[in-house]
Amino acid sequence: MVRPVLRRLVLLVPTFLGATLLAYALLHLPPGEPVLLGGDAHGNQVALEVAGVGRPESEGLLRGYATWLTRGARLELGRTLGDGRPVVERIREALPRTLLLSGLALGVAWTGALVLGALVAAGRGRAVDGFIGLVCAVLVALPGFWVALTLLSLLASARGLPLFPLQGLVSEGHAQLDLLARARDVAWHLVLPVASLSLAALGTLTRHARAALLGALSEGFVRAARARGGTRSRVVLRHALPHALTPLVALAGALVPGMLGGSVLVEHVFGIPGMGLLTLEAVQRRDEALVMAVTALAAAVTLLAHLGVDACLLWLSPRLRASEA
Amino acid sequence: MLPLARRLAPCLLVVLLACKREERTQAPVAVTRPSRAWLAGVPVPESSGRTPWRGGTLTLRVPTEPAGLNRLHDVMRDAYMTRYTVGPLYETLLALDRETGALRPLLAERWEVSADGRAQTFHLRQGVTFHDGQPLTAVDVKGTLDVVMDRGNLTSAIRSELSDLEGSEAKDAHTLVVRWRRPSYPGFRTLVAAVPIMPASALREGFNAAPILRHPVGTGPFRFGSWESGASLTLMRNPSYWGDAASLERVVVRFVRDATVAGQMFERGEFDLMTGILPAQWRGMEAPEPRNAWAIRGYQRLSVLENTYSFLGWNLAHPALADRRVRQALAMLYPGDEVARAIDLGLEPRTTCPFYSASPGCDPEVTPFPHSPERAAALLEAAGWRDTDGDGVREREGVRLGFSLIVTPQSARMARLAPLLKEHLRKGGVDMRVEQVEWAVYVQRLRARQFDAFALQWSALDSDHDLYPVFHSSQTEALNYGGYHNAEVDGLLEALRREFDEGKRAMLARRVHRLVYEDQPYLFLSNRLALDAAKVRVHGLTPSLAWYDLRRVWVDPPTVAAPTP
Repeated sequence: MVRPVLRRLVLLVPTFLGATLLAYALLHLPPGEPVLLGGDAHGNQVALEVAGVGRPESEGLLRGYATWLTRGARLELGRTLGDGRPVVERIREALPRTLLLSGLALGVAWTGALVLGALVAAGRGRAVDGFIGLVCAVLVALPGFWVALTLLSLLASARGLPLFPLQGLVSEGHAQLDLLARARDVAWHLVLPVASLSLAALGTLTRHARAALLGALSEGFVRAARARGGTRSRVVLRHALPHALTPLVALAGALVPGMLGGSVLVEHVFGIPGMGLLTLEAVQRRDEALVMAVTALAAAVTLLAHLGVDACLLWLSPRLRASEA
Repeated sequence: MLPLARRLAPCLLVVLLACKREERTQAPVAVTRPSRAWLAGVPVPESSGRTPWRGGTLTLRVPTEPAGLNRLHDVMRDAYMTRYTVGPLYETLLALDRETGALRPLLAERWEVSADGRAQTFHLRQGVTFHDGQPLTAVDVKGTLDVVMDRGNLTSAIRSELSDLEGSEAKDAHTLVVRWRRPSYPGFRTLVAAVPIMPASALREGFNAAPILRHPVGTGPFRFGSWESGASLTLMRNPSYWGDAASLERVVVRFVRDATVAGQMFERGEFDLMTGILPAQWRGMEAPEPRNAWAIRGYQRLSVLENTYSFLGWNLAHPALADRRVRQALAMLYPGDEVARAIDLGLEPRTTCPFYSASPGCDPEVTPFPHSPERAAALLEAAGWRDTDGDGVREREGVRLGFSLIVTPQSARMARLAPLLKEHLRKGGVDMRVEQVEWAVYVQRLRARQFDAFALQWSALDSDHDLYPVFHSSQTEALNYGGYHNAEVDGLLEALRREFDEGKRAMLARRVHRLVYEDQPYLFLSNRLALDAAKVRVHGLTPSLAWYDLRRVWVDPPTVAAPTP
């Protein structure tokens, strides 16, 4: 099982290079220039010259990319146009927040989907199946920002039930609390953002969990297990579920980029200064250093997630292992 | 977005809301009708005899988080940041009086002007110390000015306002002489009222990424406390302030970008001072209904006319737009009343003036062109534009009368205004196309003059601003994007730069106003009102173009709960 993983690890390199090269090209092909100032285009020009920012006209696309790559390999990611702080420092600040948020959201969606999927599969054809199916279809269809704003106005605004905080990850005076109270404070702040981010994924995953479980339940080995006298729940949990996990694990990897994309909206609405807002700032300013760093990081996270998923699948599925060997 | 959410909300969580509704009907709230002052956004005069309480925290919301805390830095020119740093944290040589607008002493006790107007001597106040304990001297002022004028620093925007400055010299510890290549009124005003004085010791290492940009050290009544990136900034009272100390113990500035979310936090009572209320919310809390009781009873509204105007700028090299009659006709086709009512909810006063509308620089006799499709048609006919082929659009020598307006997707107001304007222009036989352009491209196209028409707004924090870069014919490389040229206006703008006398300045400015409005290089749209609200426990907030004087603001002490029998 080690060799297939290694082979995939090697394949990651060209994929990563391709993704970042594409990002670099997309950043440089369209018209427009970095923005330092708001309304003052003249001042912008002067300021850009002072800051030494501008488009190196002579440097070709490939050469420019090569320069970025060699610097990036030494973690020289430059400074942001916005506040002039090192890109690495900004990312170190933002990344943990987004990882916490999207990691939790993915975990919640995945676990929830498994439970709901099992419920639905167990009650196939009954009302619960139809109801949860409908709810999932709605969840998948709802736009993320709408979900976020609706949750806010229902469960955080003065007009609804103000149960949860509206903004941020921590309350004021958070630093003075003891460890347990701090954790509780963060958890309290995370409820709505995690819910907004995970609901759509929950819908998708549940539908797939249902399909996978139903598929597994119609397999011969399940019938055999039933014939040996296993109870219905025992058969679902012990025999069908492990079999159905394979597509769910694969999907979780595919959902990672969606989580990163969704975090832009959720972070904007809930005021969480994570990678999403950093990406927004980078794109709005055409901040080359920041756009490239953020893209490279997103590419790396996505690729590593896929690698992890592949490793999991190899471990989970004897059939896959056999075909790879 | 939100109204839809509100409408659909009951379907989703019927049970939760049902409980809430019941609660409300059981305890009906006596509805007070909002007072006239409340509606107008004028604070109720303080009842006399109450001494300000020393202590407490003021939490205020602002919509933007700045890149840093220094208004001299090009990237950090955020209007709100300037307001809560210059004055509270940093101080300038002189200050503009909040009521009269006249210059009065601040860090400089007095100043003298040389006979030729090219040199000023400032006598600095004795006994002023920076927050780090070092005394303020003329060397610090000179150091700050040198930072601004150094071409290697990211201070180009403020440097362009001080382009006539020759240099400064510290005569002794408390005397500073500033020399000018030629007298410059806007330069002088910027120098004395907009340049925050920083300690020279903090500027030696270079300015562009200096620690002082994120950790300001000034002389003001508040000192820097902490900055939680993405969340808030805390200012603390400066106990060793040279003047009357502030009443507040702390000021917490919370950065809440999303307007809808900020509105909800406001309603939950999370801010003592809410700024940047959306027009829809401002209007929404006016009805004397129980759902508005929190606002009518718990808050006072604060509103003031800002020095900001929105406009459509024309490219005067465009074959049709080069003709003044066409531009005037477009102004007559602009549905001003409809925009004011339907889009701006009556909260954006129309303007004709490129200066601050409440200043003597605007000629009160200049009135907007009336909305008159008939007069517009006559002007267009006179300019040779007729609809000869009956397709509803006028043409001249085979060329259709039309233009493309570039707008940025960020402008929510323009997204609603442009379609309305398009419809009205179409009725007048003018074909307007709307082109959405992202900001990075927008800026580039403005400078390269690759547009027919653009939508923008100019803002200034001062009541007096220099129009030379915007309308002088030599400034097409600067802010005169459309290429406006009028020899008389050129002369007036030059004279305005040299004239220090207020009365004479007003006369010159009024002439500029009249000429520019007649020439219509811009289709002037409207001014903006600041829409803020503060809890009734907050005192000493006087709406002003110069924002609030945080030093004078105080809050009621927290009430001790009465013991229950």
